[in-house]
Amino acid sequence: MKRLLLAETLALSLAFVVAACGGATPTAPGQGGSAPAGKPNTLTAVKVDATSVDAAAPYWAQSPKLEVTTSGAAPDKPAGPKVTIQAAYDGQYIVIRSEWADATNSLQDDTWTWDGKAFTQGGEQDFIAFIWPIGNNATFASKGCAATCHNSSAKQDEWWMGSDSADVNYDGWFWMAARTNAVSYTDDIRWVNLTDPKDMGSPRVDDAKDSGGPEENTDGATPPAPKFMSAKDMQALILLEADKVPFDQKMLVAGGTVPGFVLAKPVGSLGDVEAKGVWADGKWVVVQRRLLNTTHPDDAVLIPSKPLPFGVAVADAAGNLDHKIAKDVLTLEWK
Amino acid sequence: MNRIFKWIDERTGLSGPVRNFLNYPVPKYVHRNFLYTLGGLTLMAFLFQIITGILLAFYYDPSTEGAYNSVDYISFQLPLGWLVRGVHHYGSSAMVILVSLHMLRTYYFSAYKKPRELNWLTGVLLLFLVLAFGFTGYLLPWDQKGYWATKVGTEIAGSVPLIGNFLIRIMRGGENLGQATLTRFYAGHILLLPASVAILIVAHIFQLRHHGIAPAITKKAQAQAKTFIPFFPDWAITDTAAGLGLLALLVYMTWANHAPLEFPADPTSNNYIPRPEWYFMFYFQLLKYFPGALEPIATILIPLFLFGSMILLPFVDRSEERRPWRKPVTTLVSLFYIIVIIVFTVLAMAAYA
Repeated sequence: MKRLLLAETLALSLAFVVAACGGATPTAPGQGGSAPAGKPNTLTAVKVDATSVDAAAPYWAQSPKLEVTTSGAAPDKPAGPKVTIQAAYDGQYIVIRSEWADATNSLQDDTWTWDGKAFTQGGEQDFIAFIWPIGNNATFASKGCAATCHNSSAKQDEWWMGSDSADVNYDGWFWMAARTNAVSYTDDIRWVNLTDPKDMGSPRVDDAKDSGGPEENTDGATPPAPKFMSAKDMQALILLEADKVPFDQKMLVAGGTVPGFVLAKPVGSLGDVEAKGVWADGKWVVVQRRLLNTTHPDDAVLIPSKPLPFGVAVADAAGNLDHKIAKDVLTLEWK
Repeated sequence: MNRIFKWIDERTGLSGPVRNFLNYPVPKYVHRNFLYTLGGLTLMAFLFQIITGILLAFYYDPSTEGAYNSVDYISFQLPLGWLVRGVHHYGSSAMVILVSLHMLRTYYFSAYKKPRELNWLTGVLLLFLVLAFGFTGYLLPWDQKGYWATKVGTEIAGSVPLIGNFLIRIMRGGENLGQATLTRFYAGHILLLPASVAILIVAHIFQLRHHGIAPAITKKAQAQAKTFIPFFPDWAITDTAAGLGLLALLVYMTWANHAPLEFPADPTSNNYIPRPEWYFMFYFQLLKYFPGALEPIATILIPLFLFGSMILLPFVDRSEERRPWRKPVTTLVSLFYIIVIIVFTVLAMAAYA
């Protein structure tokens, strides 16, 4: 009799343990150096001793891969590339590695072009953007960014991205191939409430900064012209603060270009996210790293063990009007 | 110290009853026998739930706007909040298991038979209340899991013919889940249910002391039936040690796997798949086999039959025989139900996985 009851006890206890552990489905560590596949729509950050922005760090072989399918933000646009995302964290930092196919390394960003008579300005760069809700956000977690922070107007010139409430803010990591990558950071921005319907760009605001950051390279005259140029390379698409010299029209020949921004790494919350992006063999590999808790009020706090919903978007030299977004809800989990 | 006790005793007269309670003779064959610690362990688990529940209540905000944030704060920011919530979370599962095992032991040892019918009935009610604890506590974090499981759970109650609409309004405090629902579940969880359980436990223990432990069923135990040990310190120490072991297990489970907290409840969500707590999984699996017009069979008839069978058991089984191997029908029937519950639970968990 005792044996029978003990067997029942063991069976029920086993069910209890299995049920209690049911919430976590451990992913087997990678074998032979290839990263394991992760849970659907879940980015699992693995604990490591120390993180860096090294895209070839050994721990990436143990970090589960999240394959994100992207779609055109506008319904009439084609789908985007699959983005492979991995994450790791240590006691202080989280680091996220993103990889996606892109046939071109697009570094044009409001670039000035001299046709021999006048300047025109244009060009779009590649980018990847992450969005994290600041605080708990039920609708974002349930429906994702596509449903909660984009409006649905059919007219693209009426598009905006932000929150529909003054109480709801989003933290954004906006890595740009031309504007931020050259100075090893990601624009740390926020999307806030749209308060001025005539200014569709108003919900997107930069985090606070003490100094640095990109400056528009314009003399402000009519018609406008570049204010600076590179002292090193007349064909450069990137102009660093340290390399700038006053613009000299005589140095430019027809067809020549001048970068649209003067770049310096910002000091302050705007520069919280360090980054390293490399384009090679038809793909981007971008690694971004940030303190789990920057203590800045304009940033999302990442707490290991607490799942966090997030969204991601990429663009191939297309700007905001044809960026590709993950429509599914994505979740960051910790292992 | 003696003067203090004497002072208190002169004014309360407690020393006699307390001495009687502590010196109560317990048959030696139950001492250090795991099967006879299940009742004490259940009581210990209930005490852990009370203590951790009070600590959680210090920080919990029972409003639909604040509930999730307060549980989030407890889980991820409050020092040791994760531990307290985890012990409470796993403690609720432990309560269900321990009450079930305790009742199984009582069932197989025929300890429900005359004159212990009322003790069995209080035990059945306690099992029901422990499940109600789990059901009401599930909603309190106001996360997706709790919200949608409660929505489905209350809809099941609402499908009861004739009184379903009344039941669902009583449970929800209105047509939909909202502040009234959370307030009712919270009040039930921290006031009504603890008070009811405490009263029933007192009645249960009183009955136990009144009738004594049920007669032994094995020859070995019967040989020791005339040998006794005092409840204190012998048996009390054993129960306390077992309770501390249970606490250690709960702490370990919390450390290994923190209590889950899903994303905040979104009543407009249209793709969330509701999942009950594991000890209700078998019931959700059962519901799958009775769709549409057959649903009342699973929502009304089967629960009523099972609950009614448990209530009527001591009045139907009035034979003198207490040995389960001499009662093949009752033993096999119970084993059938245990296997069904385990299989249904596993099937449901596999489906949700």
